[in-house]
Amino acid sequence: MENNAPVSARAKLVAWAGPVFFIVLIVGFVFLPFPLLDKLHGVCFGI
Amino acid sequence: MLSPEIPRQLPLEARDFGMYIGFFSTWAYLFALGRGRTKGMPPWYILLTLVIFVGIMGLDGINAFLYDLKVLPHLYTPTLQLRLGTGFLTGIAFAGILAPVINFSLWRANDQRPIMETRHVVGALLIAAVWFAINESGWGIWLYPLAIITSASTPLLIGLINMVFLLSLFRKEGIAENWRGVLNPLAAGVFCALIELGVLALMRYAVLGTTVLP
Repeated sequence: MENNAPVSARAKLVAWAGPVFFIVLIVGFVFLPFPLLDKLHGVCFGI
Repeated sequence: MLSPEIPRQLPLEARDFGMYIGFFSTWAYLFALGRGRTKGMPPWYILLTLVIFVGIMGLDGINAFLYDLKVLPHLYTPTLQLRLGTGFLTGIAFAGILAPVINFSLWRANDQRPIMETRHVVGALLIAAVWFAINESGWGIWLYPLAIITSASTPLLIGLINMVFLLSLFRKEGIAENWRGVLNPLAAGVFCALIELGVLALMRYAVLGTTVLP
């Protein structure tokens, strides 16, 4: 059955939380002022 | 830049490299075959094979540990190739065992086919062999692609495991109807993974500083 209930403004906002998180994460990583390999080593440093 | 004059280490050591890349490449292969979202465990003989795969890595790890101790006898001298190869076997096993659990938690569609059958294990082994050859080639052109893939796979795999726990904890199983629906729960899992990796990194730094692990 199709759900035609109106979507609240909060639900619309929450739906974008994940995509925005990943965009911020990737852009933040790219622009972090360190050499790429050092940043990649940093991600795995604790493993 | 693409082929550094000085050899550089990859961000992950050989065994971890095999596990993480083995897991994701096997799962990607299963997606390509239309089985990536299935919720059924493999048949018993495949499960047994996968458990043996993990056991082989365990034996190699114990042997390497005994070798490092230099006090107790060991079977053979550990090699990076064996670490990598047994890591790949475990990565394939993780895909066969962990992926149905993730799919069960995540997807609304109820595809109960087993995630792996014999031919899929063979395919996964062939893909692992290609990765192995790429790594063994030592060609500098692979340094950055491999470094990026391995580094991305670390928070992603840990994030996927976190996501399963979070979905279960908040009773949100079967939340995703499509890929767009995966992003929110995965983001929560990756967020927790970054905190966990940060804590582990701090602990390592507190003990060893920036010293390379022995």
